[in-house]
Amino acid sequence: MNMKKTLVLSTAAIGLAVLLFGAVYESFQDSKPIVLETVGFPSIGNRTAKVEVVVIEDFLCSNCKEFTQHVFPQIQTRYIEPGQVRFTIVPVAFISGSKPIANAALEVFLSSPDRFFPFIEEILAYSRDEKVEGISLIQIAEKVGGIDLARLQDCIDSDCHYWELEKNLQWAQAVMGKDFGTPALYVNGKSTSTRTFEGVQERVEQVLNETH
Amino acid sequence: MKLIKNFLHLDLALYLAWTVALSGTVLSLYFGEILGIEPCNLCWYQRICLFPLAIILGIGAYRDDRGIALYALPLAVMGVLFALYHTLGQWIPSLFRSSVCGHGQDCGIPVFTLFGFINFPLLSALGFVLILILLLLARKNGTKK
Repeated sequence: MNMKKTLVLSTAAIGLAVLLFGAVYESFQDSKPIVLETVGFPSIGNRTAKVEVVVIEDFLCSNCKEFTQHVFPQIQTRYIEPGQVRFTIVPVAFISGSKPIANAALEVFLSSPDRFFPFIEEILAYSRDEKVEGISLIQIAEKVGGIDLARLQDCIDSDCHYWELEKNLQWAQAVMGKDFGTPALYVNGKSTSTRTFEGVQERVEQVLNETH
Repeated sequence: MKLIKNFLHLDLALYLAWTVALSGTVLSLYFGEILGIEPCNLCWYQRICLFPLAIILGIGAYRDDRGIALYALPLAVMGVLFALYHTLGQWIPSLFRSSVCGHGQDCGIPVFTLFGFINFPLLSALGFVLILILLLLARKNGTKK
């Protein structure tokens, strides 16, 4: 191979290496915590806990369903129930068809806060295409129990929380900017992957150690 | 010694034009995809001119095919024009003034400014001008050959 060809190939390799190095370096950098104003959003757990986990989710998003079914129960058992973590959920509705569900969920939170999480767990237990659209939200609420059904029906009929969902979406877009996507999870303002419980655990333990 | 002598005898205009395009591409991808700084519309037009240059000039340099300069020149010229317009827009914001607010990154707001006048579009314009000069040189040398 002549010298020029070697030069071109080595330069291309250097260019690629620089880009890869930059990507790897940045991925190992800790994301900076941001201040999240979460007053008024559905929340469970110890109000005075030093760690707040905030999750932004759309109830029809398949990754949110994955998170709620597999990661959330572990966070609940390990941190929320012992009072180490306060868990706040910001419902957004940007996927087609998710507004009525989020609307009903917000109403459940307003009328019977303790039934909110069982209600969304029940909703997420139904698969998107088969059941939520087939079964009425009232039926789900009935199954969960302890929810004022008449009030819920009124809210469903009048889309009573649509304005709030719009506000939530703007809030979430302002927080995430270009990287908007659900589920998004923040541990004391630090963006954390929702893929595994271990990832969340690592970040929560880190914050708990720092605050001790 | 022989290696240095050989190196000096190489006609490197096409290769250098490619390295400028490659550096610009790496820089643009680093800021856009890794640091997450969203490119504005005019940045995208400059990217449209730059990214193909990083590929075709690489192939041209590898094969020592100076004929490629002719195909690359229009991209470099368009890149210079977009970059100059973008630079002026950041220096004179009234150029980009609009009566409506849009969605996405505002082309009139510089991501960074050095010494009060050096910004990304200016660097982009300089890069494209350099590519343009080197391509003309490569073509001239090629014709001589």
